[in-house]
Amino acid sequence: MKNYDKYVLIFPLLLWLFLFLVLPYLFILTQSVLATDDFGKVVYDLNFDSYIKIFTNPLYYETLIRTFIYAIIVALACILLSLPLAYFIAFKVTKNKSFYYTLIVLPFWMSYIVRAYAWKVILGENGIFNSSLINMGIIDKPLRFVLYSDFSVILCLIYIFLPFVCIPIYTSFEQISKSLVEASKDLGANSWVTFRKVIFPLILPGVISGGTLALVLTLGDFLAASLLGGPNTLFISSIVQNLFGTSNDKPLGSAVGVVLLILVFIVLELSSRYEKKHETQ
Amino acid sequence: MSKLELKGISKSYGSSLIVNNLDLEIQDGEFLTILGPSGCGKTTTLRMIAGFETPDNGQVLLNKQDISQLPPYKRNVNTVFQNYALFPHLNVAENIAFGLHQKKLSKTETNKRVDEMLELVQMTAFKTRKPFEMSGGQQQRVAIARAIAPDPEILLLDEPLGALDLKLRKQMQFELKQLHKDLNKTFVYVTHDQEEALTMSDRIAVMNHGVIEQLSDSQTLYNHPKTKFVAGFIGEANLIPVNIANKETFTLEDKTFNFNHEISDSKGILFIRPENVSFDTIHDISLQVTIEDVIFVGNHRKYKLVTASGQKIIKTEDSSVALTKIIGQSVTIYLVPSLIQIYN
Repeated sequence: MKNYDKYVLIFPLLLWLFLFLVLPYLFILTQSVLATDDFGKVVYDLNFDSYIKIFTNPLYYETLIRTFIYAIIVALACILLSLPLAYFIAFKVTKNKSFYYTLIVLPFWMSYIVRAYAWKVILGENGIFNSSLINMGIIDKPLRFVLYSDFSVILCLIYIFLPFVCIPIYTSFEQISKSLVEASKDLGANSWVTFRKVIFPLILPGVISGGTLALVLTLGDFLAASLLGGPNTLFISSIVQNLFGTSNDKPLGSAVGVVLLILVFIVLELSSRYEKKHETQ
Repeated sequence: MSKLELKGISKSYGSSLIVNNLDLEIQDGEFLTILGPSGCGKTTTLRMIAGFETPDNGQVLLNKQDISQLPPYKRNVNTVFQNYALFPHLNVAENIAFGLHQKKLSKTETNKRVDEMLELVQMTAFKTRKPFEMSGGQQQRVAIARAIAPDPEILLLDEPLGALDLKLRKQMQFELKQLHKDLNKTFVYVTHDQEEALTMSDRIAVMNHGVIEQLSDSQTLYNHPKTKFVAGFIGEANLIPVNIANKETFTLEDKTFNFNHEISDSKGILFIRPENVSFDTIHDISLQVTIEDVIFVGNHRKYKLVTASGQKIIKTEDSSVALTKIIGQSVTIYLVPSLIQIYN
């Protein structure tokens, strides 16, 4: 009897996950190998046409590759911005650490859509960005490429996913004992060498897990692209959204989803393998 | 020749003065221990030698060169940390090689030196282990090897055995002493453990409230402590209040004894070690006491004695001496005059 108790405790969660995660995935997986009739209705005819289309039609595989490259750019930018920020809070701030930490977390308290719209205000033709540049005399006409372009989408994604990267990196910095830094300097390493050879290897697990998070979240994001993207901005998730909506090709949409899911699993597996390899405890 | 010289160094944090105008000269090849209770400033002093702290005033001279403003990585001194501070992402050999890489040694030289060091601390079998795969004692050996590897002018040891259990600590004390002899290097050792200090050091600097109370070899420190603090901090001591009329005598239990001292106050504290209180060897300074208790403590026996006025005195004697006294008995004790001190 005692053994069943623990299952009773997790049963609600298991049921939830089964109904709203496992079942939909199975549904998508099944649908991805079906076909549609002339009216876009899914018919039960087992085939792999959707997958073949993904890997032969440049619209799909190129977008997939481009989205992946964008995701890498977002992850790297988040890491590069987080490193000095997290380092500053962990090592240079002596009082009110929690205040700075709260500032990082603060954007979480606002809705994604509000934050994405904020960029419209900032980057728009009469926005703060352009009017500042005009007032400073750097440009005459508003820069148009800054909004409704790949640039604005990537900028917004970096901004939105920054806390996800900054927090694990900050935690890694905090866990480094001060005496390790002293030992390194004692043995003749200056600050830069100490960072490269002692601090960075020790925060690498945090960098990897934060970066992975930003990468995976970007791969699946379609809101930023639909709010801030231009006519030519294509993220793979926007294609999925489109296939389920306007284009009404559910099997192909499901297949793209499955490919994306596999890609994400590969990224997660690589990152967790890397972390295991560099265990220090 | 003096290797390291601290000249009037001071350090304070906020309003609390941690090290107060401290002078210390350390000889080449010496094993010098800074001993003191926690908060006495001993670790801060060591950190100023290593370069982790900069003195507010004064100078740190290494081979007559002022190094007080140099960052730690430009000082040719290495530290063994209390918590080992081994780099967790590097294995034993890589940890030891860390300092050698900074000295730009060639690969073959580095490997040779690492192997030498591993042999020195008898850790060759652990060459590829990670720190978390080793016990505290093993980690400490690696930490010592890592600090010695770059061949520093001075090795600084900050309570390196503090986290080890008693038996291992005793063994490591012996090994460190041996290592010092073999390497012929200057060691500056910081500890709060008086026994460790007495057994290992050539000289001991006893620190209290940011100043050195006494700097001398173990025997002098034990037998002739300069201050009341040193007398009480090191070993067991009888500290007995006495009255003073002039610098040739003192009065204890209404008896006046001839004894030359430097105290000008009317009251003083007489210091004598329990083993220097005698039943049979006759000296001028004698007292009538009652035996309150006799305690057997393994290799010696401890007498709790009390004078007519109620002053308690402890006497110890070798347990191999036959026990002839009984509790309640009234006896005469003699204090060896050459081993008496009187403090303010």
